[in-house]
Amino acid sequence: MGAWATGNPSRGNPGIGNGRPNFNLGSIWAQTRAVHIKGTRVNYNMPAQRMQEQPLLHLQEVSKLYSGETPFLALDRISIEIKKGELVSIVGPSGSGKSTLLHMLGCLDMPTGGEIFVEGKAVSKMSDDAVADLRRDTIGFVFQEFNLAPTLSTFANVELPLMIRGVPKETRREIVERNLAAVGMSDKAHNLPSQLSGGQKQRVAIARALANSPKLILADEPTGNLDSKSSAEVMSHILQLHKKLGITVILVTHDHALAEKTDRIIRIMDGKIESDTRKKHAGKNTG
Amino acid sequence: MKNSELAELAFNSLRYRSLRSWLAILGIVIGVASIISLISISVGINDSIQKNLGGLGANVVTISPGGLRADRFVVGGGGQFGAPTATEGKITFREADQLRSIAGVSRLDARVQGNARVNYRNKNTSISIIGTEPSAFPLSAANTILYGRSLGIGDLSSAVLGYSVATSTFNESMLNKQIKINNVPFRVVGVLNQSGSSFSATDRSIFISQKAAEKLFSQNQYVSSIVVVAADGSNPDTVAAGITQKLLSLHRVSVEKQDFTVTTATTLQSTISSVTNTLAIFLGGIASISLIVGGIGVANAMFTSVLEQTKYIGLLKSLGTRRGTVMKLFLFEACMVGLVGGVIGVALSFAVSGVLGGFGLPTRITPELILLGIGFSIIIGAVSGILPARNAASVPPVEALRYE
Repeated sequence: MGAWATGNPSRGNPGIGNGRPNFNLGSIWAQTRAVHIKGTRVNYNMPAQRMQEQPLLHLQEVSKLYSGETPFLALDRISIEIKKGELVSIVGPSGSGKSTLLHMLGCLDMPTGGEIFVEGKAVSKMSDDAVADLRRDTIGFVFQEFNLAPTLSTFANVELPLMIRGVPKETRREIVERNLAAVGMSDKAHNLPSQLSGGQKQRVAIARALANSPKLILADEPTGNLDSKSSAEVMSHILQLHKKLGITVILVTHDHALAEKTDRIIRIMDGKIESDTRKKHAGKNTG
Repeated sequence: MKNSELAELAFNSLRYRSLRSWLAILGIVIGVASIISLISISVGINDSIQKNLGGLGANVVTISPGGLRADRFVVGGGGQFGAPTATEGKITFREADQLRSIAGVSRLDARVQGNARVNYRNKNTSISIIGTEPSAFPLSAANTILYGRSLGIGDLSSAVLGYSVATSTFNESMLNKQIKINNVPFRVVGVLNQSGSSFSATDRSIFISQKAAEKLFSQNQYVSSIVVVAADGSNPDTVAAGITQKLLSLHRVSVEKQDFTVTTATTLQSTISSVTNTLAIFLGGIASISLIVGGIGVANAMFTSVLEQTKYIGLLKSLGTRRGTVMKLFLFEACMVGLVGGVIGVALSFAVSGVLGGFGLPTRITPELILLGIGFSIIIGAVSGILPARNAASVPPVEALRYE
C-alpha cells in the first residue's frame, strides 16, 4: 500500500476530492482521537504504557449453548485474555465457533456460562444500556458484509456512531471528513452504499469503526467478500490502525496468510481453543 | 441521539421505502379525510339550525298542551315548537289568563290554530291558520309587518299573511284582497316580513284574530298553544320556570306527570345541539372505522419496516444505540406516517367538504376539527407503531446482524 504517506500530519482537509489515500493515516486518526468528545480528551498515543495495564478483555470459562431441538455447544469453557494494543487473529474452520467468540468479545451476544470482563468489569452485571454504551465507547466493528445503512450516504454512515454518542454536529463533520480522507473515500462522501464497490464499502466501514475512537477493533472476515486487491488495501488499513495507533485489533479470518501477519493466532476447533500462539516479539502464550 | 436527529433518520428511512410509506400514509389520509368531512357535515347542519333558531325570537316562551316526547316534536305555528298533538293534556283559556300576571310576562298570546281550506279566485289550498291575540301580534310571532297593518282588537274578518303565503302561494299583491277561509270571507290587511327561519311556520301561515279562529274552528275552551313574550331585561328561562310552576299547580300534577311543554330558545337549542352532537358522534364513529383500518395499515407497514431493517437495527445496536433509542426511532417513523397522513387528510377533507357543499349539504371545518384530525392521526400512528417499535428494540444485536 504505497499510497500511504508517512510524513508529517497533513493539516486541513487536503485529500478530499482526489479519492486516493495519500495521508499519514496514523497522524490523521491521532488528531481525530484527540478531539474533545463530551468533555473528555482521550490520548491513545501511549501503546507501551497501555500494554502494562490490566487486560482489555478477559473471557473466563465462557460457554455458549444454543438450545433447541438439537442443542449445540458453540463455545466450550473458553478462557482468553486480550491485552491492550494486541493484534490477534482468530482462525478455525467453518462452524468452529470463531464468529460466536468474536460476538462474545464484542458484547453483541451473552454467554450461557462463564464471564466476560471488559477492562475488569463483568459484562453480565451490566444493564442493557450500559452494555450498549460500552460497545459505543470501546469497540469498533468491521463486518464481512460491511453492514452499511443502505438509506444513508457514505458521510452519514460514518457519522452515525458519532450521532449515537451525541457528538456536536461541527465536531462530527470534522471527524467524518478526516476519517473518510484517511481511507480515501472523500470523493464518495455523498454516495449511497449501493453506489460503492465492495472494497470501498469496507473502507467506509473502517472509517465508521474508528469514528468514536474505540480501544478495540473487531473485524469479522473483513476481506471475505473482497477481491485480492481490495483485500490487500483493507488489510493494510486495519494493520496500520494497530501499528500507528496501537489500537487492539482482533481479526476473525479463514485466511492463514492474513493470520500470519498478526502477533497472536488463536486457533478454534469445535468451540474450544486448539492453540494460542504469540510471535516471539509479541509476548508469551496465554493459552 | 437528539430527537431531531432521530426524526431525520426516521424520515430518511420512510423516504427510502417511499412506495410502502405512501401506501401506509394513504390509509391515514382516507381515515382523517372521511372523519373530518363527515363531522363537518354535522357542524354545518348545526350552524344552519342555530342560524334558523335565531329567527324564532330569543325572548319568546312557548307553552303547548301535552308532555314533551321526542316523537311528537313537531313544528308549530307562529315560529314556535310544540303544536297540539294527540298526547294527553289541555290548557284552558282561563288558565292562560292566569299566566298573564307572572313576573316577566310582557305579552301573552293564547292561540287557536288549525288547517283550513283557503280560497282566492281560482286557488284553493290548505293553509295553517293561527288565531292570535291582536294585542300581542306580531311580537308573539317574533316578526314585523312588511306592508299593510297588523290585526286590530275588533278585527274579526281581517287576516295578515305570512311572507311565503303572500309571495309564493298567491304570488301577487294581496293587500285589501278578499280571501275565504273555510268559506268565511276575510280581508287581507297586512303581510309579515320573512322570518328567515325554516323552523318557523310563520311564513307559511295566515294570522287572524283569536276570536275569529274560535268561531272558525268552534273552539272556545282550550288553547292550541300559548306564546309569551318576556319583558325586556327579564330572562326567558326564568319566566318559563315561573309559567311551569304555575301550570303545574293549576293542573295539580307533579313534574314527572307534566302534561304541557314549555319551550324557550335555550331549551330548543340544547335539544337540537344534543341531536346534532349525536349525529356528529354517529358520523365520526363511522369514519373512525376507516381511520382504524388506516392504523392497521400503519402497523402492518411498520412491522414490514422493522423486518426489512432488522440488519440495520443490528448495526445500530452494535454501534451502541440503546434499546430505548431504537424504539424511539421506529415510533418516530410511525408518528411521521400519522402526521403526514393527517396533514394531507385535512387538506383532502377541505376538497371533500367543498364537493359536499356543491350538493347542498351544509359543511364547516373548524380549527378544532383540523387539530383533532391531525392529533388523532399522530396518535393512531404512534399506537400502531408501539408494537413494531418494541419488537425492533428487543431484537438481540447478534440475531439482527445475522438476519437475511
